[in-house]
Amino acid sequence: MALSAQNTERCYDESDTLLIVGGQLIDNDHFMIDRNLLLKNDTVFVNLAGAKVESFVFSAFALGQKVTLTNTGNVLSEEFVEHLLNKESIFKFFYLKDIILRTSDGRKVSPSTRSIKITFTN
Amino acid sequence: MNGKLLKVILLIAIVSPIFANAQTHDYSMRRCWGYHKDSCQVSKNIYYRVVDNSRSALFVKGQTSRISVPIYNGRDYRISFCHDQVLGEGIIMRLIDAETESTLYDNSEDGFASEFEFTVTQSREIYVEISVPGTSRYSEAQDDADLIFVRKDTEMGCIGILVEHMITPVKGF
Repeated sequence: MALSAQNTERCYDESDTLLIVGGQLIDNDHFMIDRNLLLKNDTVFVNLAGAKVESFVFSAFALGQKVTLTNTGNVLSEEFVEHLLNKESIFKFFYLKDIILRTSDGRKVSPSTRSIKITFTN
Repeated sequence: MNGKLLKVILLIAIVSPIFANAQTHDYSMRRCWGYHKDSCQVSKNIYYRVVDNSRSALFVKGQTSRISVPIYNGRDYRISFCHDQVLGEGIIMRLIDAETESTLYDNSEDGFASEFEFTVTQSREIYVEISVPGTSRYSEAQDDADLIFVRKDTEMGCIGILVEHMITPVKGF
């Protein structure tokens, strides 16, 4: 079941930009990346002091196919990575959305960016 | 004096393309012709090339129309559309298998995205179908006798479909 961000506070701190480990700074809602730069142990985190990514939803579309997975924690799940980095992968883009953060004082918040589209250049 | 003249020329140079692109509701000069070339943004991925099947057309609200596009194994495609603001939001783009009529992609399940990129593993013919939401006298008319007039300023506008392709890159070593 996809997590809903409706009942969480929104986080509008300037520093809540989402990042993916691997040196790729994601500071807007559409980002292009070389497929080989996405690593198997990549981690999604937020640049907000004390906040951790608790979960997020991954969805990808290909011709005649749609995959939606809920990722608990901030490490990209193996299933997720398999869909994207497999040599036979036919997914050209994916979304990270419904991101839920847990702040240091235990509150659930969502980053100001609701959905990030990441398109592979290869 | 020369400085003022230069400023005026610069101002005209900056402003005139803005007016040229503004919607004029003047369809007498085949305004939709080449709309996809003038108005749709090509991919930032430099390896994509525009395919000749790209098309533009005049649509009225409530109209559905499709074009046929052959897609080939071993290629990546980016199909996008752009439209005049008068047609509103929520325009639906479907990719349909021409042989089976099954829907392969529906942008209403993808937040009404105006672009879709995909890799082809089997050559086939697809339809790119565009549906404009809403109603107009044209779409409601049962026959020509019912059709009195269509408001050009609020009920019709151009839509461009841009088809781009590239060779599917090899992944991994």
